[in-house]
Amino acid sequence: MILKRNLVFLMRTGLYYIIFFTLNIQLLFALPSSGQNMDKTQLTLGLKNESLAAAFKKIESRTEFLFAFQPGQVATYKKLNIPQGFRSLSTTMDLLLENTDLTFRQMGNSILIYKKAAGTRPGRQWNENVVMADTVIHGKVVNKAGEPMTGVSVVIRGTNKGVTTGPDGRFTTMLRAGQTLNFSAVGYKTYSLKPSAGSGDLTIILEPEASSLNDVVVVGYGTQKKADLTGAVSTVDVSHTFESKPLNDPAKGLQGVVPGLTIQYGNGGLTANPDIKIRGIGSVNGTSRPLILVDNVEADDLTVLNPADIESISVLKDAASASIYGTRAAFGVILIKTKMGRRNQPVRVSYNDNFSWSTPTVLPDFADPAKELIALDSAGRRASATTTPQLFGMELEKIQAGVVNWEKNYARTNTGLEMIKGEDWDIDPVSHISYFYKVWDPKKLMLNKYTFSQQHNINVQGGTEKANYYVSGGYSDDQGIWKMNPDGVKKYNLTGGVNLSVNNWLDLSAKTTFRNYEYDYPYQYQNYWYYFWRWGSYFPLGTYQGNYFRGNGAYLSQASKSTLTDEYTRIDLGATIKILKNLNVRADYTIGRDNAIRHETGGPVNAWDFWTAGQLPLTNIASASQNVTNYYAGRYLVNTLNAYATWQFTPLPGNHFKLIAGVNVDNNENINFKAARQGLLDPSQGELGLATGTQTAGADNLTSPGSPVTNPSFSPNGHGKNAYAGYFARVNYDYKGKFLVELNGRYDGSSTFPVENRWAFFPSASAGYRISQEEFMQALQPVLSDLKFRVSYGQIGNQDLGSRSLFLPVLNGSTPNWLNGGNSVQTVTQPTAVAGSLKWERVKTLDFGTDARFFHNHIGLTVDWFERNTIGMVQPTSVPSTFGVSGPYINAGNFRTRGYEIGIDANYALSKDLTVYGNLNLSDGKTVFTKWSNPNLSISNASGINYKGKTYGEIWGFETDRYFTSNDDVAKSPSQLALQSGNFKYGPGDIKYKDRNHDGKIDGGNMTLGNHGDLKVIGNTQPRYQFNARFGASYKGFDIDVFIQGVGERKFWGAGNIVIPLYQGTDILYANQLDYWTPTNPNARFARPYANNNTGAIAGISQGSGNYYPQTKYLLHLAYARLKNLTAGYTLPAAWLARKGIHKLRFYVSGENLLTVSHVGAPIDPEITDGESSSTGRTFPFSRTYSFGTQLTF
Amino acid sequence: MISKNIYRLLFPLAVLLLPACTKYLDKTNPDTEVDPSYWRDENSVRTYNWEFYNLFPGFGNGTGTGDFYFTAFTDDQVSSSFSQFPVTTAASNGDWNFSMIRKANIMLQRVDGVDMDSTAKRHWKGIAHFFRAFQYFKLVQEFGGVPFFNSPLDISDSTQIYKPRDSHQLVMDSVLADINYAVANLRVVDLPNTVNQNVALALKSRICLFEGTYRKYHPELNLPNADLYLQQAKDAAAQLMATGTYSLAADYRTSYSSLDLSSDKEMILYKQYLAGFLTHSVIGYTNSTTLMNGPSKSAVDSYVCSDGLPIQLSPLYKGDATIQALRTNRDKRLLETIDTFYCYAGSLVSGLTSSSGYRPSKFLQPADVQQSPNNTTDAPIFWLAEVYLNYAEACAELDQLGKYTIVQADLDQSINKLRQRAGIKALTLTGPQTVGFADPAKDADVTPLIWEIRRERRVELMMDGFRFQDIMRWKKGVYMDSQKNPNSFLGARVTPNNTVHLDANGYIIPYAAGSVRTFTDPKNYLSAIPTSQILLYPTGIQQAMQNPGW
Repeated sequence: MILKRNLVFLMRTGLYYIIFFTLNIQLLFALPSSGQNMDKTQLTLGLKNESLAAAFKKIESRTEFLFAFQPGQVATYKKLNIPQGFRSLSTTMDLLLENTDLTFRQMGNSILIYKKAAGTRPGRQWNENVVMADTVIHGKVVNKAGEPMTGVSVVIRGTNKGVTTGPDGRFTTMLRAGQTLNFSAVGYKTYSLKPSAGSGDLTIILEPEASSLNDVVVVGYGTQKKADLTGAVSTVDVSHTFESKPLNDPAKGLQGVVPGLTIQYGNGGLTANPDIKIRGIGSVNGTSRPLILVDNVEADDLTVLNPADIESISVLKDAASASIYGTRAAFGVILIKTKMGRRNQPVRVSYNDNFSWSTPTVLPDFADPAKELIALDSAGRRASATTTPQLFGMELEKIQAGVVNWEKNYARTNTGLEMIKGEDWDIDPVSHISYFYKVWDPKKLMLNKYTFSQQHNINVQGGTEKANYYVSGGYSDDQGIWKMNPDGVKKYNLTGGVNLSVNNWLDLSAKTTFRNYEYDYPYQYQNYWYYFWRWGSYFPLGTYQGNYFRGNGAYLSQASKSTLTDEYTRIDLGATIKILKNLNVRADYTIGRDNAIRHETGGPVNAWDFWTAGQLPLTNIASASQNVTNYYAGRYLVNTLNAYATWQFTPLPGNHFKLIAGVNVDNNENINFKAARQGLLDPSQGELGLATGTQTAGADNLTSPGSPVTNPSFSPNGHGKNAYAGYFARVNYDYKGKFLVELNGRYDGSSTFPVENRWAFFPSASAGYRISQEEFMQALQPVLSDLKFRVSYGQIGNQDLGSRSLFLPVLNGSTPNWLNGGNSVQTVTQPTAVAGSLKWERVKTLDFGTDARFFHNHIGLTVDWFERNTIGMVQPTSVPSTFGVSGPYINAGNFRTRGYEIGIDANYALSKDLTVYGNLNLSDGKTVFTKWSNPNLSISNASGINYKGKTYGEIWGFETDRYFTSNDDVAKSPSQLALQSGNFKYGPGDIKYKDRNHDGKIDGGNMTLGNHGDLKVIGNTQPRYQFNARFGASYKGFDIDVFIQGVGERKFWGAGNIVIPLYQGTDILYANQLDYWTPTNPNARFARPYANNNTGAIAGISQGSGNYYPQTKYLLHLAYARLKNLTAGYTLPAAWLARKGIHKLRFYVSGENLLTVSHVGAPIDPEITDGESSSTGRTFPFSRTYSFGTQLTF
Repeated sequence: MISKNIYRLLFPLAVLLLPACTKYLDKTNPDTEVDPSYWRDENSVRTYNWEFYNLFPGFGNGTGTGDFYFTAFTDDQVSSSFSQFPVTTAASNGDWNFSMIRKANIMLQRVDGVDMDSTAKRHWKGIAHFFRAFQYFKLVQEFGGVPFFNSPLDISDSTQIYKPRDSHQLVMDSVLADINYAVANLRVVDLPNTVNQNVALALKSRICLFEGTYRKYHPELNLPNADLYLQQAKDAAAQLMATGTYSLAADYRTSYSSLDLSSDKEMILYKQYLAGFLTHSVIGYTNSTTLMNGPSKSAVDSYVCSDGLPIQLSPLYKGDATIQALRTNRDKRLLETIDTFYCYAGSLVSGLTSSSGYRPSKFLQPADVQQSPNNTTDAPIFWLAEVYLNYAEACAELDQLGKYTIVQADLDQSINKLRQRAGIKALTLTGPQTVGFADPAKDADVTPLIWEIRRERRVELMMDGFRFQDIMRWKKGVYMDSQKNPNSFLGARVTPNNTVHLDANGYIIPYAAGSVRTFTDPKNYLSAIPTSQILLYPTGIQQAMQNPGW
């Protein structure tokens, strides 16, 4: 019986004066004109010392009526006596309740039992007045999509009386005339309604609230209402960030989303590792990486997560919010909570997919070799002063002539891959040098215009009264850009979790996650990108007699597939114990296991080797050491226990306390090794047992995909163990929601440090004043809906110093040059020196913030200003050699980061159908050294050379004046002799630098702050003024979301030919670099060509020489604004879908990086800083992506 | 209520106590050895000790250079490229290295705590003293007085870290104390071919001969006790000779060209080379098309004839018109040191070419599988020949100082054994400091006896890495001055061709015209302290850190 089940449910919820009815109630407060009549219903009943409840049960069993009552009110009546008799139900009820303070009323075929008002007489209360005073209201709460909403609280305003909606979104409650109902749910705007008689069955639509003060934010070991936050905590709009996007790595989705959280990818490869920082660089040592916690357990590698499984993300930016996590949280915390079903939620099955096509954003263009070779030839002549410049013996002049001839005679006919000797190429009969003339389109030939990716996710979630569960599976497949032997990532995720109430004081939870990551790639014979961009488009990409010439084509076409397989498994077990009302204990134990194996097999590669002198041989161009199979294995395990108690109490009205105290222990271990064997029997079967050559084994750092490049837990000898432990406590106090105080402390231990220095205490505090709650502020409502001022201060120790052995006197193993009895012997070095004074680095953060909301909470503003001081950064000491070993590290340097974050958000429902929202964020920070040991105040663009007052990331270089116009001009200008190296002599068309110190010569002085010649700081590598904006709207079923992200200022001085023309020899000039100085092109972008512009005459500044010393003219501008994402979707009408048993169906299209505004100064994407062989831009390109997909829930 | 729920508290309480066990954090990387827990037993001490043996370069490692043949900056060889005494002060110098001293000092502090018997502890402390002495000896040879440390420094100890140089006298007296400790405490027999008491005696004779003659011939330094050092040099050599453990191999070249020296009775300590484990390239460098550092005219002329007389006196000398004439009736060691043909610019033999025309053949070994790199002949480190030479020289110097009267038996039990093996007549004492003849080429500053003993040392240890320091301790830097000793800058007398440069007499001039090597006294007796190191010291003592003339 439906009613009965609901009744029981209702009673469990423990609400007063609530009556629950069946779904099919038609009348509100009408007389019982329909259905059963109590007067006409008759029954036989007699009671002997029986309880009222038992009596109701008997009546229920003998009539069609059911009772609704409060057990507590009924329980007191235990000894009722009624003579056996046949009576009407009305009479029976009168008899039953005669000597009680209860009364009854019929509602349909239910009988409500409730306390009668004082002074009324016992028995039947049935008249119009009573009915009008207690109106029954019922209806359904749905979201905009028309989906029923469970658990919405429906409360009578000004009281604490109310109900919650059931699984079908329905509610029923009673109301007196003039009372108002408030409907509220987390993440939705509260809806108020004053029902009137005759309202009928109501349908309430709740609007989502973009930034509700009632939002619950996940913070360290708990949650907090947004309104009560006193620390600098940002949350991520998960649905807009991760849904409807081609993402297989959550870090990619997080890029640019949170003010103060910087995520940078140096290249666009499938396995590129992100550099993740909160509020910029935190220490010159280690990675300054925030602690990333997935369900309270560290997960360094975010690719283990399926973005579709993420429920919420909080970013804890200041010390006060992060310090509860101890030393590993020195640079902030990213808290990720994964999805779990909800109690009393019907089964929901969701499926979504995405199909995407990516194409590079920016690639350099190859030049027409006929023009390019002229410039290369003149550059070569200028640099070598010898006869005719050559490349692999080919005289550039002769190639140029050959190319011109080819373009004239063969370009139209010779379009195949097979190269015709005598036309497309030739061999010089005297020198036996091969010459190549055919002009290729290397990008078209070697790269895919579009690469395809797909993702599929399915999850099932739901819950009963005692349990909730979540099961999901995900699959993604991404293809790489090379046409031959492309790389690719396949990823599978499986997750299953359940929460269970065992009894009224114990909840248990279990969750397992499995991720399989498989990266396939061709054996790396050489740096393919480096060589792809190394020479002009006349270099032979085709075949002769079916065989490739030496180059990428030969290697890639014959390379075996290499594979990296990474299996990550995690099991979380947890329990919540309710000890007292308001006091519970939560304990979680997690094991994580990450096993990775990389298998690479080389083998011979046959090609025409035009690199060797003499007759052109068709030979194996792979080295003997590449005839090898390599196995790398890495195993990482982590065991984590979190246990903490939460106690809330209110000793005096308005004074609310919340206490959390607990313990966190974590240990991890990693094992990394490599085994290799040369001499493959068959390269298609690259196994250790199927090779006959030299075998080697050793430690090797196999990092997981997505993990930081310098893995701090990696031990150089292949086996490392770490353990961490901490006791933490937090007190939250609020006075009437107006004054908010939070105190945190953590006593933290880390095995990274020597025994005597392992434990330390890190306190922090924060406070907030919600001034808008004051009486005197009420007048400003509703314009200023909410205003809070926050301040926080705290300190945390940093234990990530790059290598733990800094703290330990390590004796490293080595093999001496000595044999004993015909055997090699092992020895150890003397122990490294460790300063007795060495301490943890301390990171102190002060944060002032304010949160304000305007116009009925529609517009919000959050501003944070912070100062973070990193104290006692370790640096190696410079001791005389007489010390006998490298100087130990000491705590010598400090730096200070100051910055701000500003966020504005808005959300308006303009009409029933049209909602718009948007937010804008801006953040910035700058890091300045306040102390550093550098007695000479030497300057350098190399890392590690710092001085007091230095801004982290600064680039020293010259100020460009103009081009020299003549030799006479050179002679009359300040001397640039100190800059000349090799055969380079300044002349017309070369760069004239500014004589900033007016000493008549251009130089770098002695590279100290006191004497840096004409150098100045020309830029900074750190991103500044990072901004993002999101705008969106939904109209009926249509929705659109636009996300723009950018960096306001960032400079970079790269290396290699893409960013510095003719950096290396006479290798190549790209199309954009043909704009070089000639007497007839005096305003060219680039100077007069000279081959070899890599190493200059000034030590300590970045790469570049001659015309390309680091300078203002050629500094790269990595500032950009980019349309990171645009998504448009359509959700089919709910009512229509409901008939088909479908809850939601949405189709969408989405684009990534659709538009970019930037002026890099070189043909590379503004986000690219990587490059193979230190050659900026020679790497996987960033992509523009078009995708579409479906979201289906039933 | 509480009592009913008390059991609910047990679990969380148990959890809260967990990390109280501080052992939980005792996680060191299993793959890392950390001081002082490293020091467990004698094996760990022995493992620690092996790195000291890197101080013995021998023939070199891999394709690197070693003590033999490669130490061509002497009057014995003309380097393949012109090399001058440094003129300017270098910013850095890899020899200014105190790493093995700290290593030894740490060992001295730890050995007592290791679980082994007291004899073993004394032995291993002896090892630390031995290598500390060896390293300081090398530092003093090159730089003079250096800061002396007998315990490892902590970074907080800035007075020690930045202390000025100690005197030559103090450091060498400490070295003597170290080597004496080693002699007294080292095992007579440890593992085969490791540092033991006899090796310590050999080193002691080397160090004390150096120091005794250095103090005698550098009076400007006012160093006392030259005689005491010479006495100790003589005694140490004598003690070693008296053990009867060692005897000369039948052939001179055995020491330099054997694939296995393990059963060679002449070896006190040698460096073993084995294919696949450790190889050198001495044969490779003297058997490739790379221009070789050939022996100089000065070196070749210093070999006597079989009658024991210098070439200017001996009737057996056939002149140097051809290599055949040159090789006739000569010290067998010459025949084994240079090849039977001339090879030089424009006149290559099988691709071989030497700067002086003389092809060094002393280190060749036809049975070595790899004639270019990866050579596996063993290298002598301490061997009896040097001990004999040390003994004879110490006796003669003591005699000259009037502290001892050298007798014929002293020569017969030492260098005359070498001369006998070399097929030349024994040296005969004919009176105080005289040997019956006086070489016209003799340095006027020394007696005929000492001249002949020094000659003996030069030819026996030709290209073995001793000559430069011998010149320094004798204060004879002029031997390396190209104008004062032109023969050190000439090669063989060869047939002219279009390429090779010859002087008026037909001798090879290995370097371009105008290449002059000048020895500056006293500047070039010591190397400069690298300036980058001096800059690390307080400005007040920087001046005093540098050596005279720099």
